[in-house]
Amino acid sequence: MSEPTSRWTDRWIAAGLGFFALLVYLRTLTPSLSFLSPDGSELATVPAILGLAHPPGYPLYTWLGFFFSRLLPVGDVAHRMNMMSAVLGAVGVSALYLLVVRLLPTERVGLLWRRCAAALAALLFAFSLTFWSQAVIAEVYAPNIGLIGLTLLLLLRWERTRSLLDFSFFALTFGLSLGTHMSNLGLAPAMALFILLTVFAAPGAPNPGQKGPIAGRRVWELAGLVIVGAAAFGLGAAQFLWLPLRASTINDPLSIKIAPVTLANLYQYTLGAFTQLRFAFPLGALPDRVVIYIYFLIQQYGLGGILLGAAGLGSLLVHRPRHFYLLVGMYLVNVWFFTQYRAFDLEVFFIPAHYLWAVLLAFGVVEVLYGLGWMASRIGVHLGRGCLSSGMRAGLAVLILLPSLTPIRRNWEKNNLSDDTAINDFYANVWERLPAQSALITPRGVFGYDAFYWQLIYDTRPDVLLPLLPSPNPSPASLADREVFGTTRTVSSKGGMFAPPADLTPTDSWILPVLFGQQPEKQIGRREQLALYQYSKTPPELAIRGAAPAVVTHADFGPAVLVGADISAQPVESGGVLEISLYWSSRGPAPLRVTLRLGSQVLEQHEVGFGLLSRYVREVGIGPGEWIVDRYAVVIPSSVPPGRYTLTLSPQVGQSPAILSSASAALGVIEVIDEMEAMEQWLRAAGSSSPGR
Amino acid sequence: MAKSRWLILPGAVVILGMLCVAVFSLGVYLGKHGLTQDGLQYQTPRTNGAQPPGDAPAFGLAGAPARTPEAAGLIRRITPAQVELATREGPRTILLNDAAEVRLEDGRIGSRSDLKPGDLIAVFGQWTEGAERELEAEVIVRLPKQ
Repeated sequence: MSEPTSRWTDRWIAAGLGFFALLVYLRTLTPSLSFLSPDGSELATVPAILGLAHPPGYPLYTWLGFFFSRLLPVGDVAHRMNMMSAVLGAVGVSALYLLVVRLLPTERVGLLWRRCAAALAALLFAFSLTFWSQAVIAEVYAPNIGLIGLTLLLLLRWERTRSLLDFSFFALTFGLSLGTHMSNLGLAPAMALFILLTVFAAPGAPNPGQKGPIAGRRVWELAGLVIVGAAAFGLGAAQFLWLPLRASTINDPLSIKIAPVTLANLYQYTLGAFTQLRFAFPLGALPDRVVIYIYFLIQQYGLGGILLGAAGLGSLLVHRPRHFYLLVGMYLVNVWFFTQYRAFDLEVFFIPAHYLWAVLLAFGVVEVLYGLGWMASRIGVHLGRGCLSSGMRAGLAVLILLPSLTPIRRNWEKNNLSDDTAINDFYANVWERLPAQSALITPRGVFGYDAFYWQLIYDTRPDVLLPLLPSPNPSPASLADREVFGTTRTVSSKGGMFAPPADLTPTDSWILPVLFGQQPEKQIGRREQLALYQYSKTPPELAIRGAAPAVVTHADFGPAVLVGADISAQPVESGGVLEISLYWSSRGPAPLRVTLRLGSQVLEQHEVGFGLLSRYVREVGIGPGEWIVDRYAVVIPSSVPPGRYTLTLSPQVGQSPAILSSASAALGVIEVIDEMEAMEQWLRAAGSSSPGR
Repeated sequence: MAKSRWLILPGAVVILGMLCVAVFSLGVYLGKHGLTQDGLQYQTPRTNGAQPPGDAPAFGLAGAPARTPEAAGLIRRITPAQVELATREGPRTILLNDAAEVRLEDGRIGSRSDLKPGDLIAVFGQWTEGAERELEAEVIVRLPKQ
């Protein structure tokens, strides 16, 4: 096969692999907002309004997101941002195949087997646990892999052509990639070393007409590369000049202190950001940190993948020594930097290292295939072209690709977020329930964007004031004459700098939950915290006398007896709410937490009396014969299929030995219907007449 | 091959170094934690300020803030001003002030006198500003003995 034909075949295979990955990502895509990433709601919102994200600002991500949010004709804006991750993640997968197939040693095995090894590596990476999880939500990590892949491909293209134009494309793409993750800058030394080795140690540029000694020509070539590269890289990095233009949109208490309106602050916002998280561990902690990284690597590729990668290290060094310094240099910088990084979502920072490990893994596969071929030849069987029938060759190729199905099966459940509708279901109901001219208190900055999203993108309920949206420090006077609600009842003195300021509401307010979003047992980020609270100066009605609940239970939960319950009329639309009143006869002050389930699905968990009982007893009192009442609404997730489900309440097991773990009470059978698509419900609640907005 | 030997030799040293670091780290880890996942905790608190309804416990304990504790470990020494903890990340000193609240295993409010060396506790608090960031306790939860 001629080289151009072969190259086009590889491009088609790469496109096919990327398309396959994209299909799986789209099938498992989060429908809209997600709490899987702490910054996800912010990163889903900021691009559509061309705002400024948290440090280091992510200009390129913002611009790409703007086009995706405007041009894709499906779903809401958050859905389109999730799709951007899927598309650019798939681009990274395609680039990985091309990268690997061009690097694998031609002298070890034939083209078919090299393609198999490259495809296997690309698919194993595509469906690895962490990368896949980032390709289905609005985050920077999947787009960043797309940019890293393109950067490396362009570098290899320059290596082949040694053209200044190709080099400028590489440098420009590399500069642009800083706008999807600033840590890419750490990859520069390995790239610089590779360029030096290529200029001085590789065969010279294909320019036989050029005169002068070889060393002199190479110095001139290097000088040209430095000038062109610096200019193109600078052009790409100039995207950060965007930051001062949009600094006025920052509402994050942390970022606002370093708003990039001066050169010093521009540095703090970009290169100087998160210094407290870097190199955060003493030397003695490093072995544990290295093992944590190895643990992540095992999560992605299994022990077999680690061993193949280790074998690939040696193979890469022997067959492609200059590329060894490029790829292993990049890999080591990523691992060295992030093993010492203090972050609660640490696993995502190693995705570039996993990407590079996939290249090593492919080299390991080639060595195994070479070894098998050698052993086969020793017993007289030749695996070369013409020695095996095309059927046998196809069978063997399928056998090599088979392991790529393993991570799809293994990671599907964890990374299938297609039914993660909790945030949108919750807020769709919040906007419908909030009274006119009320105020909604949210966390500050990036953590408030699950509420800000609606008003910033769709201008939802403009009569409702979000005091933390324009500024992290609003005046308490802005809440005057408004009914006050909140999605948190923690204030900054207890909950950190992202909680609302302590003086925003009176410290003696009664803060009562009135609506619960889905709070599943499986914790997905902050999903467990979806609750709407009502702030009030007067005590809520936590105790009543003489109620006649429609459902009588008398279930003994230990610290309290569930006397009965009232449940709102049915059927209920999935995505809608059930109104619930639970009546309790308390035996004493011990707290009791209960879990409400619809069928086997957890809807919410709360403490009887909503954590307000001791204050209520102190200030209002509970008379003899009075029952405690928990009155609230709970969202039925739009992912619940239509049907009839038993609603049960049970104590949370393990909270106290006094609680009977086996107790539970059936509150009735709930009929769930599904007449409206979830996205249609959300867009209607958002106030958007068309999904294209 | 001969041409690129000067490239291969340093690369071999790099590979050897990588293997040594990996093997050494695994050895230290096994010595400290055995064949367990005890040392694989890497998550620090999400300071988003949100809190679940009803003073929800972080790990099935009523009264505890509903977030990951800033520190957890065995009490080595306790004074009126500080607690010295043995944590998975090494020794750590926690600052105490009068406002620090103590919660017992069953969610009841306790006092400083309920905390003794050898107790397993989880600490929720705030990091102090400045270069020497220290953890100031707001809520200390005494955990059940394993």
